[in-house]
Amino acid sequence: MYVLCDTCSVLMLIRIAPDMFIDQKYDCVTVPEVRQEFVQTKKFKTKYPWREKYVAKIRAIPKTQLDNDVFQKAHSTVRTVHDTGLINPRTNKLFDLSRVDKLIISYAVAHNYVLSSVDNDLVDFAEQQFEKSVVRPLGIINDWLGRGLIDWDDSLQSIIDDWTRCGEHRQPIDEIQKFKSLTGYLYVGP
Amino acid sequence: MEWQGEKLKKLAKDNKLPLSRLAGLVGVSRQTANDWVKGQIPKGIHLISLCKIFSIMPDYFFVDTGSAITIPVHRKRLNAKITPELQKDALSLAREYEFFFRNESEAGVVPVIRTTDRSADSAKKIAIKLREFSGVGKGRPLDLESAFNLLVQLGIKVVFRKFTDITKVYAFYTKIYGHRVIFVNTTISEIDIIFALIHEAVHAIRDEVQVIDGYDAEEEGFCDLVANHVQFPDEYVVDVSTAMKGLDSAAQVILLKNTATTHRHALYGIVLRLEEHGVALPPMPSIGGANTNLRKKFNTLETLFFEDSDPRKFVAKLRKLSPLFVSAVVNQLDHLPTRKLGELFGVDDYIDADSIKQELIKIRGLSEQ
Repeated sequence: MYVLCDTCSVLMLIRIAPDMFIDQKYDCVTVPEVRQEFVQTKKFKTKYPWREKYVAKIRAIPKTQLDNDVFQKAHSTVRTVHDTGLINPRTNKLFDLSRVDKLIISYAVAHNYVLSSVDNDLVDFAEQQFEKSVVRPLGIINDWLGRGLIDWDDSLQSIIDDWTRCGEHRQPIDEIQKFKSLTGYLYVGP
Repeated sequence: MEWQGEKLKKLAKDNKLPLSRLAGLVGVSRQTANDWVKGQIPKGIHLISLCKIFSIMPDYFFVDTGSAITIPVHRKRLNAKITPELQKDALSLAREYEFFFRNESEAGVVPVIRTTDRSADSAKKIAIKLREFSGVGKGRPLDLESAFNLLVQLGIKVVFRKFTDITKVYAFYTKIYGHRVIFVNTTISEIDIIFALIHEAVHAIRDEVQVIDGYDAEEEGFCDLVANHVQFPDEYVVDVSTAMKGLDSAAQVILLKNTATTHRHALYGIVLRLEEHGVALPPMPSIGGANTNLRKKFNTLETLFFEDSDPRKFVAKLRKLSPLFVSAVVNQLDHLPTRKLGELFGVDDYIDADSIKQELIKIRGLSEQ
């Protein structure tokens, strides 16, 4: 089953496995909206000066493949359900997702992708309303390690260290423990 | 949006599908299906199943009950017409903020000016009051800082967005779940914004006045009158008219342009006020031409906000001009998805939105110390 990676996950993973969207063995996909967010000119200077080097590696599934009747129904359902005004039990506030958030959830629902995002509200909505499986970036790394797709070394370790500099989201405790047992390295990320 | 459980019941009946069997097809208990009929909204995953079973789209089951957003009121921009498409587009923009303001705590008590008197005298009295709120110096034209301060005092949240080509207005006022909100088009020039803001602020304080379809020519005229008096007090108008005495038309235009450049305002408003004072003015085409040239000297709001490519400066500018809205966003930071935060600020990109979020987190951290 493929993992649909949101922008935040792509930013955390692309340096770990630059071919993650090119080589099918990584089981990762992304969508045009995420690619657009990664590559387009920014209004502000960013904390990702290395982005340009990886632009060619961000291959998205074409819209023509994504945008079918099943997707249309899923998207309409996501928007309709969202617009009824649902309260997230975790925050006790209404879900207030963006246009692109709803698209990403819809793609995952329509095409049966596992979702990878660190955005808590997007994850909550997908899990609560559509019972979508969600995996965090460190979980994907652990999966790659477990399958022998990547070999951990000091240069990859420095990328995890960089996650902290970039203010990336915290990773689940169980994945942190698994990472240590798989690599022998201490997890130094957020 | 309201779920209509009865429609599900009817649909099942029309398709000769007992609820128990329907429940089985969807993978839920009969009780759950009963709950749906009684009004409980199905989870998204089950709604999709229902739509597949009956070959319909999900909106079949819902009715639009509207929302607590008042019809946006507009001032026309030049010759732009207030069309249904414009209204719909403006309302669509306002709706993007519906859940944000619903999640926000109550707006609280805000100043209201209750009068049905739309005379010139009434306009002047209201203008005096508003100038007091703004904190602007006596006799001075309203500057940008005072204009935004006025909005803060009136409890108005300002949202800066680039409007679509359909919504050809400088700004519009609407009330969203009790919150006074003015949406400002970032494509407008610095010198045009002050008048637009004051005009919308007058709408805000008069929001008990019923405006049908978002446009009432008499009400718009009254708001214009008030706004003009707020922006250009009598003392300033007298100063300008005194300086214009004895000058020929060309020199008058130059004087007006220089004055407007110094005080950072457009020409039309001050020209109207001079006319009220009986000042003989240059022909309108010269003033129009001068105003167009004047506008080129100033930035649009969009340029102002993004000229530094620095999220810290962007946020600082926003905080200065729209402190109430920024404060509301900071309140909701913990549960506001990053892209949605970007949308609220008109930033259509995850990475840029995240940059703004990081700055707001720092601000929150400092204010909690």
